[in-house]
Amino acid sequence: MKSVTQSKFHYLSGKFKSVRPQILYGYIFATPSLAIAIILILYPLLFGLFVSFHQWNWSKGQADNMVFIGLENYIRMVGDPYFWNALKNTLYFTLLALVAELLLGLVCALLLHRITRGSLILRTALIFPLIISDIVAAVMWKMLLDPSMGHINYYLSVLGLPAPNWLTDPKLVIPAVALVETWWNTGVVTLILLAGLQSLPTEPEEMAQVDGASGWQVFLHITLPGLQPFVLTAVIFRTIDLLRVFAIVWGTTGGGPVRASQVMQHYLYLQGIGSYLNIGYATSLSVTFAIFIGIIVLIYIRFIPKVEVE
Amino acid sequence: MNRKRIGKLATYIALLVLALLFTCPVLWIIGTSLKRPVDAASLPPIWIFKPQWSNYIEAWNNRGFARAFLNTVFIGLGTVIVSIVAGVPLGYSLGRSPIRGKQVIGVSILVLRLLPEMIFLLPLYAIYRRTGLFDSWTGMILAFQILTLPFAVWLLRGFILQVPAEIEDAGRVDGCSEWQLIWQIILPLIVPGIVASAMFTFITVWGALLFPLALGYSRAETISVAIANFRGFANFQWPLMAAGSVIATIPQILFFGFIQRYLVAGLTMGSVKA
Repeated sequence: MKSVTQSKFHYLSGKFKSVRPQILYGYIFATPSLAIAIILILYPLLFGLFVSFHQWNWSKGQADNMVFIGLENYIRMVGDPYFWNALKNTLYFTLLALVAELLLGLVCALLLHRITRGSLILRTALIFPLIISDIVAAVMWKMLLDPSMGHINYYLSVLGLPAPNWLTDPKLVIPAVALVETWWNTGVVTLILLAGLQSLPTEPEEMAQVDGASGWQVFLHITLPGLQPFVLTAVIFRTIDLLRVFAIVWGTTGGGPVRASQVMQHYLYLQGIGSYLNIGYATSLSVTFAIFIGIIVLIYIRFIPKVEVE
Repeated sequence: MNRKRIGKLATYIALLVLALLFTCPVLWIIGTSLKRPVDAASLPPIWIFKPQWSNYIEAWNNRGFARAFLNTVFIGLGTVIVSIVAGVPLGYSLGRSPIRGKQVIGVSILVLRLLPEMIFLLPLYAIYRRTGLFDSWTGMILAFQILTLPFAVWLLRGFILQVPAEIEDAGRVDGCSEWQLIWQIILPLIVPGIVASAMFTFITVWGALLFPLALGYSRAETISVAIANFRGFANFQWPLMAAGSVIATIPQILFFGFIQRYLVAGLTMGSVKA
C-alpha cells in the first residue's frame, strides 16, 4: 500500500528525471538481441541476395571466385523443369493438407467445445501428435505405410479395401504425405479454433435457439462468422508452414519416386548443399520462393477482410 | 432431455474415435519398440508379447545415436542460454517501451516466419564453410537463434506486460538502478515465462532437421539427423527404429504438460491479438 502511494507521488514529481534513463536502458537492453539479429538474420539474408546474382558453383571449383552474372540465375529457373516440379508438388501438398487440416480441426474444435467432463484428456489426445517432431512422425509413418509389413495396409485388406503402394505410386505419394501431415498438425488448427470458440459470447447462440433456430442454422449464421478471424489466422499460419515443408516429405519418401514428391525446400537443399553445391543458383531459387510465399500471405491479408494480423 | 442426452453421447463417441485415430500410431510405435523383430513383423499383429527393453539399449548403442543425443542436449542448452540472456532484456524494453513498436515487431516476426529456412541456410553454409563454424556446436547454437530468439522475445514480452508498472516505480523510488530492477524485481516475477521460453527453445532445437542437416555433419549431428538415418534400415530393424524414435521424444513428453498452455501463443506468433 505504501509503495503505491509513493509511486503516484514519484510519477507526479519525478517524471522528467525518470523517463530519460529508462529510454537509454531500453536501447542498452535491446543491444544483444539486435546484434544477433543483424549478424545472423539480416547479414545472411543480404549476403544471400547478393550471391543470387552471381555464378558460384562450388562443385565446379568456383568457391573462391564468385562471378557477377546479373539476372541470369533468375532467368535460368524459368526453364528449369525441376523448379516447376518442386513448386507444383509443394502447392499440391499444401492445398490438400490445408483443406484436410481445416476441416478436421474445425470438427475437433466444435466437438471439444461441446463437452466439459473429460475435456482435458480428450483435448490432449486430439493434439497429441504435435509433441512428436516431424522427422519422428515421418519415420513412424514410413513404417506404418510399408506395403508388405505396414499395419495400415493390413487393416485395409482385412476390411476388404484395396491396399495401395502409398509411398511408391507417383499418383498417390503426395496425397499420402498430406495425410501424414494432417495427422501430425491438425492439432494446431484445433487449438486455434477452440480458443476462438471459447472467446465467442454465448448469448447470440442461446437467443437464436430460443427463437427456434436449428443447430445447423446457428452454426452457419452465428458461430462460423464469429469464428472467421480465427479461421483466417489458422489459414495463414498453416499455409506458411505447409509451403515450407521439408522433413515430413523427405523423411517418408526422400522426394521419390523419381522426384514425384520433391518439394521446394528439398530441391533448394539438393541444389545448394546436398548434391550440387551450386550456391549461386540455389540462393536465387530460395529468394524467389520466399517472395512467392510473401505474395501468397499478402493476398490473404489484402483480399480477405478482417484479418487479425496487423 | 432425451434428445440432448443422445447428442451428448454421440459427441463423446465421435471424440473417442478421433482420439484413437490421433493416438494409435503413437501407441503402435511404443508397442513396436518393445517387440522382438519377428513379432514386430508378424501380421496379423501380435498383441501379447514379452517386452524387450533391450531394444532401447540397442538403439542407444547404435552407431552415433548416443553421441547425437548428447550433441543435441548441449546444443539445445547453449541455444537456450543465448536466447534467454539476449531475449529477456529486449523483451523487457519492448514491454516497457514508450515507443509502441508492437505492430512493427508483430510484422517482422511474421515475415521472419514465412521465410523458408533454406534462405538462411544457403548463405550460412557458405559463411560457415569458410570460417570453420561448419559442423560445430557454436555454429549450430548461433544459427538456431534465427528460429528461437524471435519467439523467446515475443513470449517474454507478453509476460513482462503482465507485471504492473507500479511495482517498478516503487523500486525506483526505493533507489533501485535499472539493472537491479530487472534482476531483483522483474526477473523473479517472470520465471514462468523464462521456463516456457526455455522449453520451447529447447524443443525447437531438438526437433529441427534442416538446420543440422545443412550446417552439421558429424561433430554437430543432432538427434533428428540420427533418426533420419534410420530410414535406410531394413524391415527387421523396426523395433530398434521405434525405440530410437521414442527416445527422441523424451524432452517433448517431459515438457508438454507445462508448455501446453502457451501452445496457441506459439502457433500464432506474430499475429497481434493479445
